[in-house]
Amino acid sequence: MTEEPIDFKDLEAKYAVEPETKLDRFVIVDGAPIVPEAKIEALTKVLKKVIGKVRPIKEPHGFHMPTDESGKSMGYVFLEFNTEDDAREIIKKFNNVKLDAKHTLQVDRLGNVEKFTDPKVSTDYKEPHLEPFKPLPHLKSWLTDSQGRDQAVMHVHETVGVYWMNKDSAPREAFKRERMTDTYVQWSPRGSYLVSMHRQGVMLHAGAQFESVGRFPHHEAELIQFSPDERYLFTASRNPIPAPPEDHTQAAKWPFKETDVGNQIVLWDVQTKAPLRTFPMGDYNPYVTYKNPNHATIVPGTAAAAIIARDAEPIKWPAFKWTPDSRYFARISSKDNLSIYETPSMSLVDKKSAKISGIMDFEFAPALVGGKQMLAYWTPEVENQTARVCLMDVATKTTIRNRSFFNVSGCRMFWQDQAQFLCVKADRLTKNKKGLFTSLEIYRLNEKSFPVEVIELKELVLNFAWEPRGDRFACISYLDLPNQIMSNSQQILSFYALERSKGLQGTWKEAYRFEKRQTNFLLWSPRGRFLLSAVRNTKPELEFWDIDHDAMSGSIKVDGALKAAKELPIAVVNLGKRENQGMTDLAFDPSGRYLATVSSIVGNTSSPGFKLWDIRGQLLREEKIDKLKAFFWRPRPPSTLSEEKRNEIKKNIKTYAAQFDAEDAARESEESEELQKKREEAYKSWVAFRADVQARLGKMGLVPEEMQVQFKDGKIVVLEREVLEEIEEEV
Amino acid sequence: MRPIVIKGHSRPVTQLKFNREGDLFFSTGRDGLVNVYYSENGDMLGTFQSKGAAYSVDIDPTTTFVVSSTSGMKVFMWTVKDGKEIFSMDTKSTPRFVELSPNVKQLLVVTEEQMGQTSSIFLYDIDMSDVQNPQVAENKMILRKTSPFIKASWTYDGKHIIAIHRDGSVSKINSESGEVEKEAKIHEDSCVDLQMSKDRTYFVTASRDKTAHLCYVDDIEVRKTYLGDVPFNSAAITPVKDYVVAGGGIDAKSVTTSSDGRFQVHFFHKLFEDDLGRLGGHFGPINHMTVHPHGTCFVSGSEDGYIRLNHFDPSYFEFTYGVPSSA
Repeated sequence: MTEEPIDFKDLEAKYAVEPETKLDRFVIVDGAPIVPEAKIEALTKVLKKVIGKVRPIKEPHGFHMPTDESGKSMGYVFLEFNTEDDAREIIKKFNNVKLDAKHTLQVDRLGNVEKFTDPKVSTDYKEPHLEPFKPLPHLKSWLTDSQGRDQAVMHVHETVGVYWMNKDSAPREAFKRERMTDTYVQWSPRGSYLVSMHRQGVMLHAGAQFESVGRFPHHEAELIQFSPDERYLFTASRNPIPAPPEDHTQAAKWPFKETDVGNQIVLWDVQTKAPLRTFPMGDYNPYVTYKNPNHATIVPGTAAAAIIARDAEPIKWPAFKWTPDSRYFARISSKDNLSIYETPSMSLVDKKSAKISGIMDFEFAPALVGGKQMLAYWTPEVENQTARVCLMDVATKTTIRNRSFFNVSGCRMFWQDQAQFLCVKADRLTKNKKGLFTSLEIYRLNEKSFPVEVIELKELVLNFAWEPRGDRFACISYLDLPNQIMSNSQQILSFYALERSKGLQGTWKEAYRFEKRQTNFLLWSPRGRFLLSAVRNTKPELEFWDIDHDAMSGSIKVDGALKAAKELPIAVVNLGKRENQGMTDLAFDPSGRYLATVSSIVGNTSSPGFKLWDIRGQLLREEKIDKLKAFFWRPRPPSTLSEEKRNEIKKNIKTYAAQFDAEDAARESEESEELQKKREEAYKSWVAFRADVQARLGKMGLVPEEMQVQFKDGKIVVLEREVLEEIEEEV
Repeated sequence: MRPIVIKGHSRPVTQLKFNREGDLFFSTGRDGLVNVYYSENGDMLGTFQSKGAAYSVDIDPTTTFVVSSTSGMKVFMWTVKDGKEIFSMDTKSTPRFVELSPNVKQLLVVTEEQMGQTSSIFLYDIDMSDVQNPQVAENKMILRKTSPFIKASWTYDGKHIIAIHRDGSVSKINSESGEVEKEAKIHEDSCVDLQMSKDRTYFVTASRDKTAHLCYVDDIEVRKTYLGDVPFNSAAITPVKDYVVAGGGIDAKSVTTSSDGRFQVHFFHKLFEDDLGRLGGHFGPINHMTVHPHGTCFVSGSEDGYIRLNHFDPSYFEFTYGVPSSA
């Protein structure tokens, strides 16, 4: 029996080795010297040595220098390497590199030679197409509203809408677009742009119709931060910037540089849309390494950040802090380094980070102090060193003021918004080291050598807030006793004022103290004078305060308040307490006249919508909006009016007020007319319907409802009642 | 307004209904009881004992007999004056809703989608000339074509039926041919209640999508929309005054997760759609509510078994809202 030869064809086909066609490991070197035969060996040796130093050439046939008939070299060399990576590295290192004075090497992948000699590639030069100039839309068009109304953006389900806000009528739609964003929308700090977030990057919208004015292709960017002047934009993504695309046409569009690969934060120029610099995420967070997590600074995340999937690990954001003039930005880059960068070069000031051993936190002054940009930082107690708070001049990185503390568990720095004062809230251990108390250290930046005043409290301060443009402040505190759980209504709300009558000798005094409060949140109206204290938990509550109440001379006891010293320029009155079921967010409008409290489904509320309150705590409007995700007031840029002009307006406020009142009245009557018209129409169509019904029912011998029962002269009259049969019941 | 609170049922209330004169009202509950009360003071007059949970009830215009449907797949009839069971009949699946035609010649029964049975509307010819011995014969079975039926009601001419569906649509069916004349999806979520006006020329629907709609029976197009902040279970038209009352509440399953139940009765203006006021009181979602035929009081029944009877104050009748000066 003869065995038939086994047919292996199928296996051969399956395991056939494909000849290498990609040529990725091959490199062509052009621009090499042309030498006669005699010198070829020497040249080979030189080239092999130079190139082989960087990456090994494949042995034994990796080097091939063609020669012509006469044996002369032709000026180019073919190289083969062991790996693609080696080939790429050689191209990077040697392309356009001078071998000697006369010869410049041109190195490229061998594959590209074939690609570009392909007859399909056109050799004709084509004029690049220039996009015609498209003027930007009016970035501040909403400010030209004749009624001076403010706008707000509302994100409802999948739709983003911008609305004109009115105090006494429903918001009016100015713009609406479905699926405008993948995750959330956010205003730029001066309100010029509305930012939408997409998988491919970030998009800016502006103008009355919010057309696209810029794309920032940072893949899967989750967070953004503008510079205060809106000229620069940070975007952050969890995914590091990947290596550039291989394809040439794609690579040409790739906005980043090789050195950017692996970074997660990109700083963009808003106008040119070009990336200016990239940064690594910088996961260094001093509070993680610090011992006391209870009193850690609350990292102020943007409200928008809450919309992002919360199961992912939070990113420390904003990663950088800006100076108000957008000249500098900085972050704590490592345990001992504060990196301060300068615009527009985006490089470190003096080309190096400031060395501050153990820096925990820093805050830029919100205004220039004596023409200089300052910042305050603090370092904790370590070994034999005291805790310190320092003031630093940013431009020269010199320390101007330096104070030491003992037994400090945590610090927070609060600048008054005009940088006249700085309050350092130092939480310190009591003598038995079991409880905590706070000392408030207030620096006067408006005086020479910045004197410090210390207010030592018995209580631990939870929250502190300067009155905008003022010298008064409010704080929430509680008595931190060991072995005692903080109960709900143990907080103390106190108001402090500066004794102005004593001039420079005046100190801050507690003017009012409201005990047994339940509150954990403070918010000043952006114009000062009015304060809102709130409970932000499962049972939200709002309390409105006026600290310049006319009727009160500062000596009357109001709602448990202590008698205020007469010389203190403060008169606090509680304007009222309001429960606000389901509130998840709250914000004053840019004018500081109205407060919006928002119940968003992102905060798991059962009754989504928003409420508009006036400054005295009166509920003006309540809007129920199903599936409301977010509500943000559109910020306004700083006023361009001069101080004199502003004072003039203040002086003549009554004439202006009369004019505005008249406008309001006119609008109101217009609106009520509109409503009346609508109602009249509804009424008319109903009457027509009933007349029709009555006629038809009449023909059918049926009785319309109007003829059955009526309300007449204060009585219900049943008209239609027929006696069918009378039965006497036996009981 | 001082409510009269009646603990009528030990389990959720399912339907409430006044008789024609409005001197009595009837309630059904999942505890299997069909109760009768005096509208004046809420005193209980009596109880009809059925089997299983009672879902629906209707009374003939002379208040001679009641018809009720129960979860035991049975339809019962009792005489009102002595509570005697005069008739019972089995259905193939649970009868969710019953209603007598205006001329008391026909009975409609809405059955559930259950055990391989398609949700349908059954029409029976009934002869009640001898109350002690009713004659009931099946006339027609109208199978659902789209979404399952929830409730159905006769229109003024007695020749059409308006039916509501689980997907939020409303259909108009010719009761003689059984043909669907028009169907329209008017709610985004399930439509759960349908109540006719006194003369059956227009009706309101209540839906879990937090809205109630008013439609004319002739074209079943949405004429008015009443927006609430909770899913509605029931809506009714007040005779005499131009209001629509609606009630409901968040789902029973999410009651424990939110502190405010808001089991309130909403008052809307029938013509202008404005939300005029609320009336609280219930501790559970309002399952059903209905208004006295003369518009003098209304009753609401809730998931916790309580019934609240509210007689309107004189100020209710004197109050006028936004009616044009020409009216």
